[in-house]
Amino acid sequence: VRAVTKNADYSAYVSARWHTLVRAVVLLGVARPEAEDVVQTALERCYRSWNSVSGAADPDAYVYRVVVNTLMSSRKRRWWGERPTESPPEPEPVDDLADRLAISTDVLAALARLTPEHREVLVLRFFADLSEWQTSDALGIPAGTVKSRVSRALAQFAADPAVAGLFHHEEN
Amino acid sequence: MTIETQTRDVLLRAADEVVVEPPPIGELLGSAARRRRRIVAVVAGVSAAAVVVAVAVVSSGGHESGPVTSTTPTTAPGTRLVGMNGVMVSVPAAWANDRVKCGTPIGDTVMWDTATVQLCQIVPSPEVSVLQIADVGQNNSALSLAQRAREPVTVGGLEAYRLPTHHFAPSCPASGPGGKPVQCPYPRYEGTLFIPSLAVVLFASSPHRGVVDPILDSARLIPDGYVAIPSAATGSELQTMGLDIDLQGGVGPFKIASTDPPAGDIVAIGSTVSVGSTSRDASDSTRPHVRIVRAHAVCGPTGGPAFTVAVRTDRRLHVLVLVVVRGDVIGKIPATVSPNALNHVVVQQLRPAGRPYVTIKVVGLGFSMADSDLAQLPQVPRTLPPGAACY
Repeated sequence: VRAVTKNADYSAYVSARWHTLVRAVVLLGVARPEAEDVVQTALERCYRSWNSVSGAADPDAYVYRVVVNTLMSSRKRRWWGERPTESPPEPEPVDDLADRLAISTDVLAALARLTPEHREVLVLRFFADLSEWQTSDALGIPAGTVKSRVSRALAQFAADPAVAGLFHHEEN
Repeated sequence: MTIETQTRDVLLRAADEVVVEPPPIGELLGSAARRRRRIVAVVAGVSAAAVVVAVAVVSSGGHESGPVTSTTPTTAPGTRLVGMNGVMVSVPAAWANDRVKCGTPIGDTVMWDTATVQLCQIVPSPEVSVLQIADVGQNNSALSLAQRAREPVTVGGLEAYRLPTHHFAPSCPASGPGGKPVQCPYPRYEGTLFIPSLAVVLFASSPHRGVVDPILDSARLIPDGYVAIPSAATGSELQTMGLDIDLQGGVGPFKIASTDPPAGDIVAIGSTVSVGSTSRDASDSTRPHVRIVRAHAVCGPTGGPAFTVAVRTDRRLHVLVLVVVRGDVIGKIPATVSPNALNHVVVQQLRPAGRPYVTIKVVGLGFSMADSDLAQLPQVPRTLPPGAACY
């Protein structure tokens, strides 16, 4: 019975968070299939210690910490061989899909120009919607460091030419 | 609106454009279940040893022990038990295992694998009944079957799902492209049972309604002290389940080989299993099994786009890994794949795809192209993130 309850809780959590977790890893600069692999590996690890996850003060922060650690270790293990560029050698076909991808293309390019540390705090704070405390817990850094990184990351991101048009800058 | 709020909005809008596959819950639970089974097998081995010690102590003490309650799995006359991952069902005793040719059942049978695209095509018989048993963690086709089962049921107290038995009678056009006749599937009754915590899906199909329900309704947990012999297992894997192995004909402990008793049989932990025997259909043992586990677009080692393809096989094979767009080969590389390992092959894309999706195929060298589709994964998306490219 305990195993069934555990599976039900776990399945419900995975169903609710899977898409957000994969998209967060994509925003961190990982291609979608690899992002799914990273999240799947992280969630397998979480299953093994599901009692700790579900009993944690903040399960989401716990899971994001596992996801970030999994991503870091996978990047140490293999060469991803991808570098950002503004001129892909093979143009994407012009169709509805390409039009729909316009915003994410610009946003991913702007995120790619941030340092990894700034990209992580930006994605965890404003996409994953973690608090400063939760972000510090997930990344294993002091809350003060999160605050200072967020401040610098926000300024650089909003000023990036690729996404500047998406922000409404107040007139002085 | 503050810059924080706007940033949140921008990130959410961008992320919404990222198309994400549904969560692989069956695969995640299956992975956990396999890990749990490994632990259970070890614990069972330890428990068996403890029981032997306890019996020895009781016997030497001169006390009489009560009758031992037997939990030997039994089934009705005229049927036999087959199982996988902790669940078993009763099927007619006359049903042999894997009575297939080129992947198509040629008689009433229990089939173990649905992932491999076979080497040739034959016309299925309308009178054949089939039970397919698969591990959803190993087999994407099985997972798609499992996801169709939505009606909650329980099997031995475990959460399970049924796709109720229904009549499947497809309508097909009289002729296909070029006026070629269409081979329309024969009308049949079909039903599915999925047990997530055991990662098992059972799919029964028959021209007779009275065949499907009795099989799926007979599902129950394999009693403690017994295991189902897995299909495509190595001797080493059987040992970890608590079975003794008898290697035959020079077969090593890490080679996938046929077994006696055959896959699916329920045996007591501690039983001896012959590995490498010839109890299986000889024609079946000559058929290679190759499965593409996953394929990703990456940057090739010499620059330009490429694909990494992860392949599993049951034997050492020389293959060609192809990148295909609408039947046009735009990349290929010969490779040798080996059993008992995930084979990673990088195939370079030699010219632009012109489309956002490609097909990866693994074909066997020495066969004609028309007959040698060992495995394929349709619609592999180009996965380099927008704005990324290869040098």
